[in-house]
Amino acid sequence: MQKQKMKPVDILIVEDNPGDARLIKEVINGNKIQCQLHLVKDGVEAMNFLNRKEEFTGSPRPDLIFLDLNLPKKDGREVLAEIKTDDNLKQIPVVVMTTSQAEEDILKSYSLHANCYVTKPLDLDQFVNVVKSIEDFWFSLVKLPTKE
Amino acid sequence: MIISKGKGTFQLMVIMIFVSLLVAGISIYIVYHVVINEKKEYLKELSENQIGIIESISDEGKDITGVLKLLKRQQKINASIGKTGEFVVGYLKNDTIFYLLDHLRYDFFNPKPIAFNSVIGEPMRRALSQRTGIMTGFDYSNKEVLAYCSYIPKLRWGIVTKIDISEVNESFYKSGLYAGLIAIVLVTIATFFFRKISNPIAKKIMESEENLRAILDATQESIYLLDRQGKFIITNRIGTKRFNLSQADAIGHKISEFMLPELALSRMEHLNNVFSSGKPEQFEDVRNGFHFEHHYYPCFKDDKVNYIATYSRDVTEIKKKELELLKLNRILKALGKSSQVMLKATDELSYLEEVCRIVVNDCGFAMVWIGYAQNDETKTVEPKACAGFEKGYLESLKISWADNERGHGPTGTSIREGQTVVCSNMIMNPAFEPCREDATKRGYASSLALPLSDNDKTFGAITIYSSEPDPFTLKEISFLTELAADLSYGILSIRSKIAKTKVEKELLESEEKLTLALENASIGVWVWDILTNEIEWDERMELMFGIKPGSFAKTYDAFESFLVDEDIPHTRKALRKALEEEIHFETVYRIKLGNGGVKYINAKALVTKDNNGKPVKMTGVCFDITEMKKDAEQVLFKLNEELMRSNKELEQFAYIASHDLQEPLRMVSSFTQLLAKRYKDKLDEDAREFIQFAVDGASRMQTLINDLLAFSRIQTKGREFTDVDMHEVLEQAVYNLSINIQAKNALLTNGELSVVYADEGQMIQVLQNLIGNALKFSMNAPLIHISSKEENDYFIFSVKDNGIGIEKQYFERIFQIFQRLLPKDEYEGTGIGLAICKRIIERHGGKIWVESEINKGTTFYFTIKKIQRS
Repeated sequence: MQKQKMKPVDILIVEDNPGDARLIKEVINGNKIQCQLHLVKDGVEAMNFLNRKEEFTGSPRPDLIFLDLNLPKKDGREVLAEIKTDDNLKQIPVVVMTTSQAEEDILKSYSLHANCYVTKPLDLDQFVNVVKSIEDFWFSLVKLPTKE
Repeated sequence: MIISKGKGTFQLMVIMIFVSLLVAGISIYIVYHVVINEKKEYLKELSENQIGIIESISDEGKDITGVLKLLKRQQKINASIGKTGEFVVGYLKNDTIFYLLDHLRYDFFNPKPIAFNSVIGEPMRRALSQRTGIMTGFDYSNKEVLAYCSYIPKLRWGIVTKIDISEVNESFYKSGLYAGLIAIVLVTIATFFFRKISNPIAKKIMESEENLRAILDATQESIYLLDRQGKFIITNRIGTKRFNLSQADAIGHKISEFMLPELALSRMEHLNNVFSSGKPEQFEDVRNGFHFEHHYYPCFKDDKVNYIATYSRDVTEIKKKELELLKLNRILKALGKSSQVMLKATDELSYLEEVCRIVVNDCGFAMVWIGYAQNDETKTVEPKACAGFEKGYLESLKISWADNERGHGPTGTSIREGQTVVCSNMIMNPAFEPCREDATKRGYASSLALPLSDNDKTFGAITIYSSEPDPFTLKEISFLTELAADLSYGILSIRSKIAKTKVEKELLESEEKLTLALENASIGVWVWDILTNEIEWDERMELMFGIKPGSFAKTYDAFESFLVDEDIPHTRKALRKALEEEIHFETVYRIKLGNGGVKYINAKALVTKDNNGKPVKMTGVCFDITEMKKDAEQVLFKLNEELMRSNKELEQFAYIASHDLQEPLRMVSSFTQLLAKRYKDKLDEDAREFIQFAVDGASRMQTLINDLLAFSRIQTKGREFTDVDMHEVLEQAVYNLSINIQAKNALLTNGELSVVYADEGQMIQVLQNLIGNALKFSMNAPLIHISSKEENDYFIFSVKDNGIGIEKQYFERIFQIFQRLLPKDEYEGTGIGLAICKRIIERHGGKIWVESEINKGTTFYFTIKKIQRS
């Protein structure tokens, strides 16, 4: 699925709900930007992926992380905290994407240096819009640090 | 004894004249005798003179005739004896008397000899008979004369010196006449003057007598003066009237004549007694139903009783009064006795019996009974006690106090009306109809029913029967009323005495229990005399405070010295509050122990105040709650921990619920939508509609979950209260609803809104929900008015619309969670908005309610407490 010119973008999706993961994939795949999507289903896997541990030894460094907060094994908040306290990882923008509209979650996320916080809309069209906007923002609008 | 004035004076005059004449006559008579005697002496002397002369002359033998002539001259000289006085010389010759000289009425030259035995010439005959002496008799010319006769034996001549009696008498007749005339004149003059002098005196005497008479007649008592035979000497008007006599008829008659023989006898007996003993007597008798009292007093004259003065009075009324008094006295005595009985009584029934007995025995009434009003169906009067009745009689009467025929008897009426009912004559009184026959058979002629009352409530009656038809005087009724009042009081006081005894017993028991409890619970008791500022502790207090029994210094300072310093201010405050306000003292303080530890003491007290509301005493208890405190602290700690954990869990739950419930929901929604989108050409109309239903359902479910979450977080996630300007709140709410407001073309107005102390976010939510509601349930163009006002401790806010309105029966229900009144397809919403409002308002200590009219509009009101800053 590689495209010419553009270096493919690696997106890590940390999502235990396969439905959501699928939806995100559906939306991203429908876009122009070449994306390499990586899906992990819990916090531990996510950290292993980022630290290239265990089965993820050959994994790429993601350009963007979609992080759900409620995850099995390791909570999304812990994952966020670990990323943002890790000097190697903290540059990676993390989009907290969750069902929760709870204020404390939003606050907590930002205080853990989440780059943005998005509530998953119920409506499919809105969902598509949200994901598209994120994609556009982070890959077209924003200048990201180059990978190592 | 009064003589009429004119007649009296005349009589007096006659008597006086008579007496004067008598005196004059006697005087004249005496003078006459003296004069006669003088004349006699004179005549005798003269005669003896003449005789002497004649004898001496005759001795010398001179011519007799010459002598005689000489004598004659002499005679003339001596004729001073009077005009008719003369000296006569005669001699007897042939039994015929011849006179020697011519005399006044004797013609010497034509002598008419007088026969010796004729009746005339008596003095000479006596002289010639040689009887010398004075005499009166008829002389030669048949004239009565006073003469001295003597005889000269030598010449045998009789010599008479004489004077006519008439001459002697004449002057006396004259002087008698003069004396008489003078006497008449003098007496007349004297009488005139006497009258002049005596009239005023007499008048006075008369007046005084009249006055006495007036007094006598005015006196209402009979007054008599009687003599030994009982004859009236003096009576007064009443006295004679009593016998239907006039005074004149009575005087001089015996009192016994006008009396029945038996009565007369007794009177005479008393009369005689007084006469013989000289001592007064008093007695009474009865006459034609009238009662009289008689007093007999002796009247003395020369130490002897000569009259009896009596006075008698009608004492019928007095006797009647006395009898009444006697009765009243008996009632009074009964009153006194019943009071004594009351004091001693311990049992109500025996007290009633005793009172009944007293009334019958001491007051002399025929019978008496006491009944209590029952509140049963027929309102019977239940006889409780009686005296003078045969057993069972009262029960047979079935007396009632209901307002019907049976209850109109005296007892029933008395109870029903709370009045004294006098039934003077049972035979005549219709109220007695039901029991007349019975009563009269038993000889009861009249009755008196007196109510027995507790304050104004009549609970029974005492009914008294008399065998007399009209025996109850006002005074008696008043005394008997008093007796009834005493009886009421007695009954009530016995009841209260019994109750009191019971209470006292219970009190004693409870006191014992209390002491036991105090001992066992180690509760200390203290009394603070505020006036002397002295605090008394019992032993347990001292034990509790860790000091030796009896060593407490009894002052407030001594008490305070035990307290932990931080606890002194609030203890003082609690004491002051209890003394100044109507609050019981209660506080907890710590006391320092010798070993450096502390004890928690719970102190409670009551304040005693005097009549002016000034506190005088504080009585309290203390108990050691250290252990309890420790336990409680532990319990509290545990509870708190548990609560925190549970709150946390709840939070977690709510969070998880909202999060985890929404995910599957979103899956349903998203994938059905994706399905619709991707396969829209392959799906028919039905399939698309079904998908829409699924999507809508999921959407509503999400709203529901969010609302539920919000609802659950009102309490736990509320913010601190601050001063909130409701204008700003409204502004924010309107802003939040702006799209909706524009869509509905609604007009919002508001009045002056207060600043409240509240959670701003929640206030926004409340107004937003209420305005949202108004928009939602509107017709045409909504008009919404928001206003507030102050009332007591609250601000009242109102949100008023002109919408469809709510039926009254749903006013409560709309505030319950998930309660909807209208179908979902017409009015969207979860039915949680008003429940959230209610919860928020309640968190603020306020209330929310609604007033509405169908098709006219709805007004929501909510209150927020003024200033809740702690």
